[in-house]
Amino acid sequence: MKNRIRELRKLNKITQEELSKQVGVSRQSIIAIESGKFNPSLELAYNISKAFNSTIEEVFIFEEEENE
Amino acid sequence: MEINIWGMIGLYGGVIGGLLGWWFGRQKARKNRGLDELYYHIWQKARSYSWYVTLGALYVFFTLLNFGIELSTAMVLGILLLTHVASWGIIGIILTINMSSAAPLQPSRVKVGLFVFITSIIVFTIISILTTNWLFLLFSIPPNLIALFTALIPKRKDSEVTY
Repeated sequence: MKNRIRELRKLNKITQEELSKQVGVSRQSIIAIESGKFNPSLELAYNISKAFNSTIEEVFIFEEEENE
Repeated sequence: MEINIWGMIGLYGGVIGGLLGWWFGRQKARKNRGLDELYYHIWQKARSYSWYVTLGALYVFFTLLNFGIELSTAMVLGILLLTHVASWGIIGIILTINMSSAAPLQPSRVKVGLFVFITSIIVFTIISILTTNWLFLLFSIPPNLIALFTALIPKRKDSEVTY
């Protein structure tokens, strides 16, 4: 699943550390989510979206598999 | 009945040391909001993978038995315990490093590292079985650590602190 976290962070001038504090996770988690290595839970995805005053769909881009 | 004092100290001292390390590690992680869902994801994955490694070790032992090699219970249990706990910890560290870096791991370095790691384990296991001295397995730790850390730490180009 792709996401626009880096783009939104730059837009809102928020560092990874600041975002991690806002949503209550470690900075490593933000790095992992941002780079697409880890898909967050629905709750965390909601909290991240809320930090940018956006909806989940605006931050996370769900891509269906090609085989489907 | 003869009690092996050093064996008991090593066995239970190891448990106490491990628990203390685990507890202090959690305390430190909690301060940085480290006990989050990624933390549990990583360590559950590591535990899961370590069972595959342990399963592989069990098959190696059964194969050795089929070749007629006699193995003592203490040696087999010791190696299985070491295999399980060490693979759990090492895989957890690898996953943590991989998740903490925006740069992906380099496949060529990973292949070389895993080749050195597996070769080292096999060579020192054979030496320890042939000499019936499991302490030879400890000699495999330095090359394994060097192989893992040179192969699995990705190159960091830029700091991620900036926007």
